[in-house]
Amino acid sequence: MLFCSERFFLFFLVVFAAYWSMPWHRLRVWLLLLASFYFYASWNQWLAGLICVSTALDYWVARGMDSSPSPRVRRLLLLTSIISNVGLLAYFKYANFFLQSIEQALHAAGSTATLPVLQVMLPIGISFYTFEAINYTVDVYRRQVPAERNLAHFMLFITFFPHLVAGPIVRARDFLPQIRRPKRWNWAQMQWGTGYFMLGLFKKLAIADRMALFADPVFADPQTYGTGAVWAAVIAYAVQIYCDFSGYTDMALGAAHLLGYRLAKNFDMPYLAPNISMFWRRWHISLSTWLRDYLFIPLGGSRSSGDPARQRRRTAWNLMITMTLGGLWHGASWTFVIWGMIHGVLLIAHREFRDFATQRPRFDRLLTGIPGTAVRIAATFLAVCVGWIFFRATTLSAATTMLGRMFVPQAGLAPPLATISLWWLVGVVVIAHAAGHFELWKRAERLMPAPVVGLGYATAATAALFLALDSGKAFIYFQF
Amino acid sequence: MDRRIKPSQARPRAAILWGLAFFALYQAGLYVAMELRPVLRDPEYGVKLDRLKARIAEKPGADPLIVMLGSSRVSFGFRCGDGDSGEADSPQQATVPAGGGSAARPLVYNFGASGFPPTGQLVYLRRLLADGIRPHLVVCEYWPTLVVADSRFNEGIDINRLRWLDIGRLASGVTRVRDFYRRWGRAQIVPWYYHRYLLFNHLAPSWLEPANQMDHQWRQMDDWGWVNQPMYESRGVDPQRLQGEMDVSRPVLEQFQLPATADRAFRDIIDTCRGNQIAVAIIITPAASPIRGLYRPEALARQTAYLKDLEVCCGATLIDASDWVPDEEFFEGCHLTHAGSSTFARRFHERVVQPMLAGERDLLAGSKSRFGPGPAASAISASPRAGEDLIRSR
Repeated sequence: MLFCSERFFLFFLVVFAAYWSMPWHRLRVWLLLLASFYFYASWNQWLAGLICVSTALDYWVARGMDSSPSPRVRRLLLLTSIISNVGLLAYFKYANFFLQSIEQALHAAGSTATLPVLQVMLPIGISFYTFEAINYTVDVYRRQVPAERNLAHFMLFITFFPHLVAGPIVRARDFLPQIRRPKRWNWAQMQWGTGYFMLGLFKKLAIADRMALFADPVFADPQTYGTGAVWAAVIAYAVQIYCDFSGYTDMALGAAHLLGYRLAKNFDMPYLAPNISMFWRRWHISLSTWLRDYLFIPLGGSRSSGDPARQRRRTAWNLMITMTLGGLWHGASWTFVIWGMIHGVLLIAHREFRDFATQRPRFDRLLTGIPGTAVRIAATFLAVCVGWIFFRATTLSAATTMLGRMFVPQAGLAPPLATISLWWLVGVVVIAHAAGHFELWKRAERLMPAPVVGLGYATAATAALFLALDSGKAFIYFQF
Repeated sequence: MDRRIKPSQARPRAAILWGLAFFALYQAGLYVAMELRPVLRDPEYGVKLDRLKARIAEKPGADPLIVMLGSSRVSFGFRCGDGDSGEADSPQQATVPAGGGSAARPLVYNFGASGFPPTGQLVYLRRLLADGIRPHLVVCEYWPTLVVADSRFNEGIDINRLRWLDIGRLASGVTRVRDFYRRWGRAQIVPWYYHRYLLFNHLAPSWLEPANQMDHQWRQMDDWGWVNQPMYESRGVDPQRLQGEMDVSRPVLEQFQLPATADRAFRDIIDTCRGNQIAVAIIITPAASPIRGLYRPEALARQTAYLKDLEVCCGATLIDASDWVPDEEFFEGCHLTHAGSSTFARRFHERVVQPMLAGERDLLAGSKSRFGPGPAASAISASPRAGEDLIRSR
């Protein structure tokens, strides 16, 4: 049930109407819980059972940790939770990838052994809800949050349908208190929710899906396309993945707001980031902060350990591990691993470059001026685009073909469609980013009379529907 | 209890309610625009109508006005205008001596539309009359594979092309009526979504993926409704395509069964024409000899009995044009090449328009088959109602 489908619209309308017509808070929680399971079961009812079991396990483990004074027992329970969550993820998402990789390694070593291919179905959103469960049990272990006593509340925290399948990855300390708090109808919140949902709908239907028309055919068969088509495809994919994922997040935020909940912001105009480190503070914020808090920092982060050279090596190592695992989290393929490693290398290079620049004040001033910032933004965008090639390509050889055709001019097919729509829509994204950067939206919304704001919503919704493609494409991050 | 809304809540509430109102207004506005401007609702029809009106305005005394309805085989295959053909004997250029001695200037117009079986032709005829076009002669396409497809017309057509008036008129002639109403009704509620492909094709076709581009149906149209399909520029039948067409036609021509919807549509067309004092003819459109050879005798007998019934009992004139075009002027045995399109139009001029203008107009309104019989109509049964039993009931 895609957020941008007619079915979801009807589902949400029913839930929304029932939710706000109920006077009892407890009943509303149960309604949302039931709706969330129905939402998940619309993909696969058996996998809804799986999420139910794993959530119940985490609930009891956290209760056990909370009540146990023994550090050993607490550690054991934490390990139980982490192993069960990571184990589920590993089995459903990575088992075949590992088996295939082992088989390839054996073949490379001269063996002819074949390993079985497991018939497993990837539970949608598993990467997201396992990370939420892990952050909860770790926070309970660290005594940063108390264990939730109400099973329904805990289950709603994990399964709340707006964030269930593709995030944002919510933290227990942010979300559980919201569940406990009774909700009152608030028109301002409704307006925020409507605005977010319309924005997300527009990003997804009007931009992301249309960008796929330029990206998909080229990524599927890169060797037949010329350099111009490859550049158009890479730019289209960069815009597509941003509008697809941030569009989903906006719709999730909007749906949550309409039900009286707030979810964390997940994007902050990442393509305006002047360096790769800033990019990761603006792209998929809930994942990057999760990786920082639950992987990078526990690995040692960038803490000082006396010898600066050793500290740099250690930080670089931690960054590489974090980003490589972050890449693997996205998908069971070497292309994702390489993508993660590219970002690891870029982050390390950026740290070195930053240190180099700060020791040279004139150069630093040059970089931080308007032309320097523009160049840094463009360079960061280009580096991110190179990374996207590995992220999107189905094989490493396809990715290298794309790269080769991008930087070494080659003849071939023109873009699959006349590029006028590509440049129009890229123009819309650029203008919207510029307006966002100068906070024009916020100012305009404050100053404009209500009918004009309403006209804006109606125009966004109508434009999204008008520009939508025939069959709505699934969100890219649903596969993760 | 004070139920007045707080000032901090009033503005967001107003913004949302205005948003809903504007959204409804957008949808209603487009709906009304589409009802008023045929070119928005159904660009193929709208453009043809505009051009036909322009031709009528150019030839104010045109007599007679002949409109041919049909499918792609007419739309792409009946080149009745002079356009860029340079044909000296093109129907539009001819001034034919009429029966009374004065010169008549016929206006023959191609109103074919891709994928339009008899029910679609009925829709277009009624629209033409509603839009103030009153031809002297309406010619309807008859071809078995097209007629058989009629039962799926309402399921296959882009339902957005149908107006409210079409829906009311079509209700008795479609299958799965509830589903038909539901689909059409849903499309009218949010026309900016359901109608977007037609609008895009009209406004910015380059934004569409090739599979959804259909603007050639009116952008490559000449002034007399013929659509220049570049694919059909080829010379000679492509054997592979001919084989494909034969595979499609064989089961239809071997065991011809007329869908009830098609029969009803033909009879409604004839009734509508007669009610408006318009002559009506059914034309068996050209087909290559290998395709014509696929008929089984009993299927041919059933078909001709049915056509005879339309002719004798309903008063339509049968024109058998199935062998008017030589085989080498077909693309795949069924659609005509550009040369074939001109040949078809020329023959139509010679065998229909000229005799009609030479004082035989009464034959068009009469009950006799003046222009047949050709091979496809040669077995017309003597029994006037013999065709009824082969009409497949739903």
